[in-house]
Amino acid sequence: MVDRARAGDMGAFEGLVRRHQGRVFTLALRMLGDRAEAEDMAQEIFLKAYRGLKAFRGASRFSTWLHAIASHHCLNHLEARRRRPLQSARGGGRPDRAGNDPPAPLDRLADDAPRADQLMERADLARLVQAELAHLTEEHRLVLILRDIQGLSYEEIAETLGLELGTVRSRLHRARMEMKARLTPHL
Amino acid sequence: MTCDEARGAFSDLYDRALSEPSLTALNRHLDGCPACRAEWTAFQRAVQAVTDLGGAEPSPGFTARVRQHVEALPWWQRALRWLFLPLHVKVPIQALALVLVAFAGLLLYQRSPELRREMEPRPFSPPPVAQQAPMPAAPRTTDEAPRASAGARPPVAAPKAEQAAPPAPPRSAVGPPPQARLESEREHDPSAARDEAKEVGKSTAPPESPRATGSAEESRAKTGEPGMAARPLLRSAPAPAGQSQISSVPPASADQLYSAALADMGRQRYDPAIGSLRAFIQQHPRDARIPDARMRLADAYVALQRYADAIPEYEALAREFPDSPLRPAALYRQALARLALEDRSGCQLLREVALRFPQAPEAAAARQALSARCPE
Repeated sequence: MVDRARAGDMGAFEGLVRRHQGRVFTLALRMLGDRAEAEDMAQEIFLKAYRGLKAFRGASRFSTWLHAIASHHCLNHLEARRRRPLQSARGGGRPDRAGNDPPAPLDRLADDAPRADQLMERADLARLVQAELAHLTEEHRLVLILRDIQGLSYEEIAETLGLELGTVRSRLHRARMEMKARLTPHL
Repeated sequence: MTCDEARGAFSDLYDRALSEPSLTALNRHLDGCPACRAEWTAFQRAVQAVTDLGGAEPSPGFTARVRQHVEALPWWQRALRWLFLPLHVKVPIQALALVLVAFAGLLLYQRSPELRREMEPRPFSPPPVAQQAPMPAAPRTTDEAPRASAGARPPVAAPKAEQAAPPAPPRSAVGPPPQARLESEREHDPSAARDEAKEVGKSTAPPESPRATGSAEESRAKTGEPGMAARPLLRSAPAPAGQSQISSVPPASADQLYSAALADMGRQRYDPAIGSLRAFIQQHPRDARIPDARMRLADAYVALQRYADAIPEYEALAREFPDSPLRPAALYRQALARLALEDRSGCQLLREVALRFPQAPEAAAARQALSARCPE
């Protein structure tokens, strides 16, 4: 499918999007904490992947290559967001049709959380975890998401981010320890 | 194992990445340390909570929106992609096409005589500054025709004269042109020439000036050209019809030799002009026109881009006639000829002209050439 997409087969590219959109969107969502922003981000990531598809030589797995694009795009976006403090302080979203400010990421997550009563506790925990995740440094957050949510191996993370294996290991340990410190009072 | 060491290994323990001895040591520590055991439990719950966040799916229609984005690429990006991507396929194809076009052009050029003639260089392309250099008035004799006099300035030859002259073949910087070489070989078989020169020299030719002969021989030795002394003598021999365009003026006459040379120069027929001038210099070394003849001979070589042959003639003129008004011009043109051969000693000659002959018209030209071609 990758070869056909590289040859310009749009149907094959759509197949790749369908296959990988969940992982790309999850990465964007956990990094940014906002669904709408994450969805825009995921679209940009696939657009970037499409433009760079011809250069993909198959030296790594397509999913690893796509994760690398997504990771760097998210980091760049967060860097750019930091330079716009006013917008990020409002949650980074856009006004709705009524002109009201969009809800903060945590509220948006709550909207998307399961509404069944039996799942409320779990939804609350997800909101909490996502909020605490946002307090990690971007590098630690990214490694934690890639390992504990996306399920990548240490080696895949190292390849995706272009890091040494030891760096991945130490960043992951620090991220987990910080999350333990932040979540323990609530768990 | 200390508590810090134990807690530092939590991540590896969670991922089951510990070696057997480390795992044993850590388990032993956790069994005996309630604080670390509690920390380990909290660690596991926190990581599990992160993992439980799980994946998410974008809203319906996401794939279609991505496709819309992709198809909304600006036209120039789509054109670039179409032209160049994938690079590893299209660049070699484009390079191959370029090579094929170049090869086809070469074939066309080689098989089309008209095109080849068009592409050939003009018979005379003097050094750029030489065209601007003033030509000092050469000593004239009464028998010098006005048209021949104009011909003494090959760098500013009239276009009509160019049209009248037959197209010259391409020439190398030093050697004679192929066609001239062929004619020379045909007309002047060295052995025959030597024999004839001996024979006629005994009877008619006056003794040559030793200095002039030495200079000419040096020049010939550099170019591998057969002795030019044979040329006027050979000219008197019957030549095949249409083979020789050299003037039929008897060689023994100084005036006629010189006039024929000037006429040939005026018609940009430099090869026969060179033959006549060399004969004139060798046969009439005491003639008052010798400095002028040497200058014209050197100029004719320059016209043929035979700079290596021109330099000894300019040198001989400057050396043998130190008081000649032509000396600054001879030095200046010698400098340009040397520079045309990438010989940097030409710069020194230009400086010499500018310093020693400040009033000469060549001094200003030399200064210009110095600044343009001899940067410090």
